[in-house]
Amino acid sequence: MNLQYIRNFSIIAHIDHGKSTLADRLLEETQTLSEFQMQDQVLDSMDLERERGITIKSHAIRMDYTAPDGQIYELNLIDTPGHVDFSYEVSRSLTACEGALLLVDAAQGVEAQTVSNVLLAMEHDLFIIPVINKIDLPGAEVDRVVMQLHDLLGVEEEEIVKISAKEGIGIDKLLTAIIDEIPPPEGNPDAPLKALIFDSIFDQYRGVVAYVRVFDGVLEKNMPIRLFSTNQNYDAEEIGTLKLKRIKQQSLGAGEVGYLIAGIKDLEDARVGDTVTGSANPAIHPLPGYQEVKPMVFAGLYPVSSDDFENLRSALEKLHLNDASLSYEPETSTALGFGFRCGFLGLLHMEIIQERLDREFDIDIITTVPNVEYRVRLTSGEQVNVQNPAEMPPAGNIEDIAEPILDAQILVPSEYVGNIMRIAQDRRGHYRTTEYIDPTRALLRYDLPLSEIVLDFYDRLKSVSRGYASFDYEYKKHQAADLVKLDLLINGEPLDALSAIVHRDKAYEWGRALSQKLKALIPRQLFEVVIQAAIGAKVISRETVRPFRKNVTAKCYGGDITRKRKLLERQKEGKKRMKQVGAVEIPQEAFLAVLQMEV
Amino acid sequence: MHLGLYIHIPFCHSRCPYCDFAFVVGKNHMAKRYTDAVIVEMQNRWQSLGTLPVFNTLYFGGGTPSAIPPGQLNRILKEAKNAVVPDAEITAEANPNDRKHFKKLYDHGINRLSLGVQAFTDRALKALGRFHTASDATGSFQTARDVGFKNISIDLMYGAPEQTLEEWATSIQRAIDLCPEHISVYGLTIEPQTNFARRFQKGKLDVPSETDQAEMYMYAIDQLEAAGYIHYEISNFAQPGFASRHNLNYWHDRPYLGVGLSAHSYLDNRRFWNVRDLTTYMQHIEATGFALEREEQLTPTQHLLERIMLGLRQRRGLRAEFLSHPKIHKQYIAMTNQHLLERTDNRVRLTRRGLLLADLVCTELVREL
Repeated sequence: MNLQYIRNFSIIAHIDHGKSTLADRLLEETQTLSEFQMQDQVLDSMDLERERGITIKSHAIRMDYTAPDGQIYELNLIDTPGHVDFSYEVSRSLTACEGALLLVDAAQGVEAQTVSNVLLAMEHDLFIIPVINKIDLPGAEVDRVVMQLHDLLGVEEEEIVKISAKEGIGIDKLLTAIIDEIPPPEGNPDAPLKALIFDSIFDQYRGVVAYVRVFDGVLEKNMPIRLFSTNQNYDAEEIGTLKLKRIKQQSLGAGEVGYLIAGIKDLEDARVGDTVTGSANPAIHPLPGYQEVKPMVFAGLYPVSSDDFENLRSALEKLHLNDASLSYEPETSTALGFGFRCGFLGLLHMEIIQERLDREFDIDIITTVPNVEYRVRLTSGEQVNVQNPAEMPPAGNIEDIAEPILDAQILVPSEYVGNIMRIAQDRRGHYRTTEYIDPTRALLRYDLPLSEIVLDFYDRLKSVSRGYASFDYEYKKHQAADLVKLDLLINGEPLDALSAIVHRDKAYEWGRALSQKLKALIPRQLFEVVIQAAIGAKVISRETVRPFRKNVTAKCYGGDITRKRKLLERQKEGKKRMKQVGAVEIPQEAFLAVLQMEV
Repeated sequence: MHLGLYIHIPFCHSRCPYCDFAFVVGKNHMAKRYTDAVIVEMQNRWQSLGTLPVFNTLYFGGGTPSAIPPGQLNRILKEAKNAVVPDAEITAEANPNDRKHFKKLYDHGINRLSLGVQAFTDRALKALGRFHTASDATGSFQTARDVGFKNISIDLMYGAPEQTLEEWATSIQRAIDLCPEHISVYGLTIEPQTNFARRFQKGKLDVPSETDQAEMYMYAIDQLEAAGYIHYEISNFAQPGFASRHNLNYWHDRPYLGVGLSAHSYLDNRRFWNVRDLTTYMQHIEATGFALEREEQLTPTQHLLERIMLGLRQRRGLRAEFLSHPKIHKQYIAMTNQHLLERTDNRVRLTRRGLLLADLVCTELVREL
């Protein structure tokens, strides 16, 4: 295909602004799929994606579009994940494109994620076509959104395409804009092969299927290839383009988008952002921008029933096959037994994994308090990375502890700026700037410790702004802070699963809230249960669960033994659901309670 | 032969605010129709039992058996006559305010009277919503003796709203002074759906603390044992030879037949029970001769659970071999080390401390089953 007739683009949008619906409409309009094949939101292929209205994995699809002048164009829509947890994948997908449709909901307007996506698209030199969606809705405020886009991008009203993806309004104009305005790809077909892996999936029959964008040269069937990051060689067993199914091709030329199957066994060997080149005539330099994706948030995952440990292992293995960014290592907890310390890209990623374990594998799990990775400098000069609070070295050996800091952007209607500032300050945010993207909306920038957002930050943000605040972030740096390890002791025994690293100023409050919460959740037992929160040897709060003094049924009335036996059976089953720590029985809710703490 | 016969008489003069048994108030005009139904049910049961007589105890429970005309109980007794062995223990529960009926009850063949005294102080009786006074209680006991009862049991309840230990001590001492053959001591339990439960939830019922209740219970044990009563079951005390044979049947895992509203039966490893609504009961009996609500066949595990649960309620304890079960033994050792269980010869029983925590000890013992 002549490069002149190729357009590679993605759609960038905040959650719920209608990205998937627009993608469906484009597929329909270009007759890529017959109506018979249409299933709403074709691109979101996981149930979970469809339910939550977000894209978790990237997808790519090729549409052959006959323009009004009769010319056939190859349009490659590269769908990007719609969440900040996956921002690296977003950036790789954008690299594969020359243009982006910036989709904004006519009722919701520009949001924090829209802004950061625009900035990201600009960084990648993409041509942006602003699109206002849902113009048919009663709540649509098209003029306001036009103003916002004008302020954000400097575009005039006539440059903005107004559509309703749901009703199919304006789709033809949008296709014309894509052809007319997004530049065709550039590339040298005669140079050594350079193709970018912008996503990869695992097919249980074929192994890894890498989604690639060819920049230079030609990717041909059966040619020997090499991956830059691993320096491994493979044969291009199969290549092709992506429609609803994979369509085999003999070659993919510069500027084209498609897939590659090359006998790669493990997703980790076909990393997003890596460059494919030819083994015979390799390129000297890879494409820029490759990064190894590192998990940001960690938590212990334990089976509720210890019998499920092996099932959990095999479930994590399977999930990891499809999601190389999920990491897991076996670990043991005195309280919870055998489990895994898992690493996630972010909180949504963690939630998704938890939900998939539940839905697809039917395993009940207890998740420990999520935490971040600390860089601990020891007095010996050595540096260790700590992903589990229980493994924090003794305070005496620590020189300092550095925690990850985010560059956070919060977009909020101006009347809630005060509320947001209060929360950000509570969360140890360091204020940087405020920008007004229009007279009613402010974009606040903070340096915010990641550890401060892992528990209920997003919910708080929404609740103090009546749901209007939106939030986006990226990792900035590690920075030393006055952090301490807070232990929770039950009758003197540390309950490792509830240990946490907290800022010294918040330790007292955290310890008190946690012990009170546990006091409410731990049932009375045969003996007194003492709950203590401590920093090192120093106890900072103490609660007791009084023992039963008397617990005896007075009467088995009139031979009704059944009722008493059933009560006994229920209590017995209740005990089975408890975790035993020393002699103390602790209900599972106690481990979850900490996730709902409001400190 | 050990087989008990239980007959439920649901009629009451008034509603006690703590009671969640099957009872009806203000329906005494239905006593005859109800008695007819009970007799029909008995006759149907005899047929399935084979050779008579088979029962060594008969127990009229309630409700309040003394609340209906004694003639109705007599009709039941006549029907039961051929089914019951000659020296059977025949008990009727009675309200102290029904003393006018005691002579007839005795004359009709009832040889054991269980008096629902609950307390010998007017304050506690009022707090429990009872309509008799302390002197009614004493008087009715005297009447029972006078008409000939040689085996009388008194029910006492501790933990009444705002009860003090001193007040409870008065009830215990007055009971001991009367020299009944048998005394049952029950702690007040707030049962769901009762008037007390509603008041308790609203914070309008001030019951003694768990610690005070434990003290009341221990006081009762000490005083009654000192007065020569044998503490033979968690809530029951008797002079030598006067343990309730009917109740021992339950605790010894022996069979019994229950007749009447909501009555429970245990035969051939099966437990079954009748419906709880009075009209439904009578209609079902009149239509089909039976009024079963449900039945269950005990699994071996359920049977073991029950034997442990019932065995622990007895002061002589449980045969030690039950606790050698591989899924129980570890907990048994732990409970022994915590001084909640103790071994006596070939039996294991609750310690004094264990008595107070009987339900928890039992749950802990069987947790792995």
